[in-house]
Amino acid sequence: MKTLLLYAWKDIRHDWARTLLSITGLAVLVFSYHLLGAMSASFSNFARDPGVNRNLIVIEADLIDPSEAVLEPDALAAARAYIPAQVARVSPHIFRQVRAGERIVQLRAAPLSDWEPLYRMQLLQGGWPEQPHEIACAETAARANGWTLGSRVRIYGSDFSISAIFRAQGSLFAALWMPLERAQTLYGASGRIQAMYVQAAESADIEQLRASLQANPAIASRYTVFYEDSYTLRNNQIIKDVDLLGGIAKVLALLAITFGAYNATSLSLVERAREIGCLRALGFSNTVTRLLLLTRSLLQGLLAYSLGLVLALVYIAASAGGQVSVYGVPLIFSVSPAQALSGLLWVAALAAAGAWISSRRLVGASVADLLRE
Amino acid sequence: MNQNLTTLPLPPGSRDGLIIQARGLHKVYLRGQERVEALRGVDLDVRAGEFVVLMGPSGGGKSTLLHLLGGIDRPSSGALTVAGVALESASESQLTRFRREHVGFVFQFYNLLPSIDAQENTALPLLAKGASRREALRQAEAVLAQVGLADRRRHKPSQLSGGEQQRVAIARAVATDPRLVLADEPTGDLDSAAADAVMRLMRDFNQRLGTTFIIATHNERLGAGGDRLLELRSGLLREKT
Repeated sequence: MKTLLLYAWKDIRHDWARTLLSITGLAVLVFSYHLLGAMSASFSNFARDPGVNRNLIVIEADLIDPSEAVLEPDALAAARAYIPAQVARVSPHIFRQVRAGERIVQLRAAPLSDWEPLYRMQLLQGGWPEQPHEIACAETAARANGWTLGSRVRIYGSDFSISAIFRAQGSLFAALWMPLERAQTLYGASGRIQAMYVQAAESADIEQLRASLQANPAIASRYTVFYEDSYTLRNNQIIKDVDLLGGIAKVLALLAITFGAYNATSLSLVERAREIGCLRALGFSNTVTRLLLLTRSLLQGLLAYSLGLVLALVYIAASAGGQVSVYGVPLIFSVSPAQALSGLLWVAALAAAGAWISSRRLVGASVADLLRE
Repeated sequence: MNQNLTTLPLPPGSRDGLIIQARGLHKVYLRGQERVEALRGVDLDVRAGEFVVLMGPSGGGKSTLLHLLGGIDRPSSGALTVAGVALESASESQLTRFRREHVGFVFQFYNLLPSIDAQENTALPLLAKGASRREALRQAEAVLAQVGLADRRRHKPSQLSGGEQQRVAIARAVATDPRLVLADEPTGDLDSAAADAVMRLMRDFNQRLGTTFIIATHNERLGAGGDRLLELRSGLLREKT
């Protein structure tokens, strides 16, 4: 095996310029695979990030954009009637999509007193907004937009200053937040809310609570009661679609790697038919000859893989450390060890398969025919 | 039918007995729709240790016959036994083993692997036989010394002259001490001085080791140096005196 590796390596080095071309071609495909994989994983993580499972959301049914929803006060009152036996908190909520600079960012508003106990927001820097012009920003949104404490953000014609950077579970929190009353003032919609979050009491059965709320006359006719996590997933369908597309693109990149490895090996075989014939004339068996070709193809594949991986890591690191924002959704691109390993295994398997398939002709050809080529 | 061949007295140092026995060898190729009969009933006996020169025009069937004798192609019909192996009925793996154990090849265009040096090229048949890399390289170095290339052993084929490359090819052919060496136009790509040197080298191995050599050439002058001179023309073999 050591000798096979050595001769395969020498063969690769001997035809370095040609090998470099083949390796570069494959490396570009590996680079694409990793980039698409990182994107796909990022979307998947975003869509599957667990929410706060003891929370329910009551919102108008069949709305594509939650910022268009309206929740009437009688629904809010109906939910509050469950306190304290079955419900710990009821939190009125406002959703908005706002343009901040060149990006669309989700703006959330809820009573400040609910932020930590219900939404589980954890203050990382600064302090929760106290002044009228202060807002809080999720750490992912801050990273994606390059915001820090004190950064100024213009929303609906007014300037705000980021006073707090927080961390919270779930994709719901990847946004700017302000206290409810301030948002209602900003949008000139005093008393209007769009949805409510209902936090089940510790002792309550959340499934029974959801069924009971859904059956409540003040809610049943116009609203739907969702579990928070399933609502998040439902709203993130577009993310899942992009995730699916990313997955498909990843598979296409893998197929391209297969054909790339196959073509590189086929070309190498055509050029080396006489050498292969010579090796067989000298007494090397078909199997050993094929193993030599397979080893060469594997080495070439591994070199291409390493180059592609390094290129992908450098590119991701150069793109704001892999933190990007897609339509206001902050995403973190990274190549996980699992992805790196699976990519390596794929490339190795496909390079080996490509070499094995393309060397089939060797088995059928006579040594004399190979020597004549 | 071509005339039956008589065998010459065995040269000094030769190994006893027939190494090649061919009867009624035919080889037919299909070139597109055309049926080409390269060999048309060749009978041949060669004793171990003989230095046989096979002459004839290009396309006369010399290479085809060498390919059959070396087990790198199969006859269309006829019986062929080389070194005790019935080649006409041997499986692919048996042919591979036969080549590995009994035959060395020298080609017109050397067929050295360009990516490795002279010593490693010479070591290839030893590796094929299962020798360790270290042992194979050690033996290859010794054989290269016998062909006068000890100081060129680390050179790659592209760094060697044509004559030197062919000497490396001869070293490779005899490295495993095979019973039979088949050389197909070994001097065809060399100037006359280099061609003479190559022929002398092969003759030297033949006489010292008793290795049987069959050398195909169309060079009349070189043909004079053999124990036997055969001519293959239009697929028919005859003894040439």
